[in-house]
Amino acid sequence: MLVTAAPLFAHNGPPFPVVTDRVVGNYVISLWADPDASDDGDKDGRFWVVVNPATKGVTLPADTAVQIAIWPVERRDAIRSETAAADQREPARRLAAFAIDHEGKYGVKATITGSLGPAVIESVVDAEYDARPRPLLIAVFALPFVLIGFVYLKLLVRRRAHKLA
Amino acid sequence: MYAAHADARPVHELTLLERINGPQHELALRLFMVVVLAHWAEHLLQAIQIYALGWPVPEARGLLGYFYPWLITSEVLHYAYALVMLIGLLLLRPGFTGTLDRRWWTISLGIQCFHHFEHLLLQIQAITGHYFFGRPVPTSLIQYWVPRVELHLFYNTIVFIPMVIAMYYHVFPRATETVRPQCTCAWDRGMSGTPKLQVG
Repeated sequence: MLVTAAPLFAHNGPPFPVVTDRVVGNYVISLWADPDASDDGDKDGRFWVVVNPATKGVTLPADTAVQIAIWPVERRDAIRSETAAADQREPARRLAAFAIDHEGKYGVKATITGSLGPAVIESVVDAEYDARPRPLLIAVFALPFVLIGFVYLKLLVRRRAHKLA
Repeated sequence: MYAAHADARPVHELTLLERINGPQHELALRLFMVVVLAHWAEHLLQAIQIYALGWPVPEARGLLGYFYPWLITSEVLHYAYALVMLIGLLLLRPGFTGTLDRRWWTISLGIQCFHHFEHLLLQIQAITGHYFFGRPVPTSLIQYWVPRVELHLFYNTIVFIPMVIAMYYHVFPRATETVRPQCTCAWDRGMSGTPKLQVG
């Protein structure tokens, strides 16, 4: 089921919007990405397209198809393409997953076809290993040791001084 | 409430909850801090493995993940820690009998409760398939404003800050505090301090 493919991981870098509610042709399109790199060939790089008709009251035709392609920006020829699978519970929601074998900038393109006509959106995302913390976070990780160390060190000094007095 | 009872009865007659909020509050708090720091140490170690030791990111899994690699990708581990935090904050709260220390500890507990509420919302979305704000994936409330926030780190940081402020006021209470603490945490009542607890 698609739900299992949609990550629930609150402790994983969350998917983020790349394009939000952009009107292209007869569609309103959003593109979300969770471009995680992996070394073991797992398809951890996930891309979602949410596509709805631009005209209110019109339902998305059943023949609407979404193709998602990615490529390293420095190698356009290494493009890979997948048909994004529709969510069984929400057909406007489409998902495609790719194995991304190295970090760096990737181009991403979503091509929509169907009886409402064609539409294309394109953008660039940064793929990285999900487990890589930002260097700045080292300060955050160290902060608890500094603060708790301060409290207990001050306690130690104060008690020692009190005892000597 | 527990502390008030703890003052009047010998230690062996106290319940576990009364003990850890009375004569053993200092010890319980220290053990809790060991758990808290062990968790932060894992994150710090992982960053050191990547940036100082130059390990490949997939190999940098902290200490637990070094020996049990599956743990690092397990959501259960992170959630278990969140649960330990919630239980610890809840169980040790009665021992914070002052105004300021109780207030800050309660703020920390409140944020941790909200953290769990966020987990619940994510679970509900995953189960029902209806995602908030028209998003394509289960979304937490905080991600509505900050889409790329890393929830685990965010919540653990904002829970930790008021918790350590509470500890500071608990160990170094203001002179204006009128409630006499029943534990030995305060600097002038400590293990090496003068007042000894009644032990029956």
